[in-house]
Amino acid sequence: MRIPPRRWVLPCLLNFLVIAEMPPWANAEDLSESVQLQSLLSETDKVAEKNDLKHLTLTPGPGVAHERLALGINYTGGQLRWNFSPQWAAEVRYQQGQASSNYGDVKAVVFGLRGYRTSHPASRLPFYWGSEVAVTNAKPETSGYSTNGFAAGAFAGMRYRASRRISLDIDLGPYVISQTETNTHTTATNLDFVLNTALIVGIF
Amino acid sequence: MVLLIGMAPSLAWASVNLRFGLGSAVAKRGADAINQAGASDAAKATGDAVIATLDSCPAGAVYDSPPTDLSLIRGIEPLGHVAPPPHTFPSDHIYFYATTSTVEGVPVYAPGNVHITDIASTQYLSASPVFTDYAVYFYPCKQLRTYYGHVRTLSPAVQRALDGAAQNCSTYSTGDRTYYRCDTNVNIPLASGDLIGNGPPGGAFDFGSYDDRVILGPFAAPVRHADSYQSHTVCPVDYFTTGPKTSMQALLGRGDGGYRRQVLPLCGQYNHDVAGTARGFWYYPGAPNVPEDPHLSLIVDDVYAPKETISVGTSLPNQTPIFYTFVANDNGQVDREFSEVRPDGNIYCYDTFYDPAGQLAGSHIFILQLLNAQTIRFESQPDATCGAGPWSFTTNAVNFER
Repeated sequence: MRIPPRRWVLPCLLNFLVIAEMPPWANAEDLSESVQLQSLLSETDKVAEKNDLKHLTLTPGPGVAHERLALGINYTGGQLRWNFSPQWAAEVRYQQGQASSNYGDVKAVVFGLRGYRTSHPASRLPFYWGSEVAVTNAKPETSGYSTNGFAAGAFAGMRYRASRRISLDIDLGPYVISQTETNTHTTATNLDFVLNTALIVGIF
Repeated sequence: MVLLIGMAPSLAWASVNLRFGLGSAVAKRGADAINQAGASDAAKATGDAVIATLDSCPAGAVYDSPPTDLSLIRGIEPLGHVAPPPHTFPSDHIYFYATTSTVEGVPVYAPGNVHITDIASTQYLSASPVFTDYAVYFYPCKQLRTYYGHVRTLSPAVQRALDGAAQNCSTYSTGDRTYYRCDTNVNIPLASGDLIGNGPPGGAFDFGSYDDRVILGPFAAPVRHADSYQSHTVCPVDYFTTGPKTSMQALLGRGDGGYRRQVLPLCGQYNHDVAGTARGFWYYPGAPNVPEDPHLSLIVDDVYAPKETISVGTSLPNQTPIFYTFVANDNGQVDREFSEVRPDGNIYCYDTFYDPAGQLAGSHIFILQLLNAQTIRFESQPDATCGAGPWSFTTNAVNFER
């Protein structure tokens, strides 16, 4: 048997997660939710939205979230999300982190702004992607050094919608992180792939 | 997972890593940037940044030159000296007392190959006339911070390196006196035996060390000492080669040379706490840890050990700040050894005090009761002796806490 090329592994895995792993009880909501979704999407003129419809009916979720405002906790931080529509959202987020240096543990704080575009928003496992810009500060515990800078990146991920209000996000993407040490003006710019997770709760 | 990718050559893309959370990614990259800043800054590093450029300390001696001309020293007072209210708690440094009053003061030398990282000038605004002296902080290696205090004049070489450097200044008060202190981060490499400056004319200069590899303890209230240099206090004499070490140990005792300490450790101790007993550091409720003025310490005397010392700050309504030494008893409720006073419901009385010269002193008594492991009630009363008791507190009693 011929082994498929490695580049197909990820798409196949995602397809498995979206299609094959659809829970049986999700079918109970299939008809009503798809009707609701069709009604929602019919209000738009976007062809792409309508093309999504046939896929959405294959992976129904717990209903399109109606909440505009959502709170979340992410890995070492928190976030506040505003849903402009089921497809579009913006978010402010705070994160912190710690790493060791020659001058003791460095503590970092990050304030970021994210934009989201969600595909198949009524699905139990919708995809999303977007970009983020953030301001950063890092300071070690035993010296006068500190860094200020920014991080900017793009991300793509998947949302698991446990209920209409609660979802779990996981995404991955490349981020440029640029920081300047304030005393020496030494600047370091790097690229990292950042994995983010968040538990999101719709408020109203 | 590390993915090496080729990026624009103008940018410092070294490697691409997978990070869990943007906060962690920024912290790691921030640490890299700070290390990079420290490395690129090494030649011109000042202050704490110098530390990262130094080698780790070896086991054993790191100093080989005496701090001063020891023939000019009458005595070296060990760790644990008290002088309330500014030093209500035992001191974290030793004192070198000069033999004679001279205009210039005894010379103070670099005890090894060191880097001076910080020079603090203190202007004594309450003195008449106002004068200035210096504390000089230096490292022979990464983990050992050592300093001289009350250096009255700096050597020309050190003074030149200090001139023009940016200062960080503030005014503070302790013991009813006001000071103006300026810290200057520097990096002045000195060879062993190089002159740093001169001590005060006829007075004492301080000599102290903190070793990051040493953690004192246990303190009765560890949170009071967390993140402080004092929790790493060591005797600087212990870091010298045999010759100067032996010479200095022979001088440990009373500052005027009239009495040598007889009890090990010869260099005294900083931490006297014995949890669950009366011995150690006691804090006036609500007051910050420093200044030490309002607090109380019940310790082993730094010179006359195993005699014990009561050091009273400013918090007793009928008692000026003072310290007294007494001969501790192993039984009874009079002059009972502090480490044997427990929260047993008893009131203990202390009398028959000695002054720093070893002469009988004082015309009052102190009574105390350990209410629990965290609280002690303490009072000064005008009686000449304790008598047979029982004793009782009045409204002059003050509670202190761990």
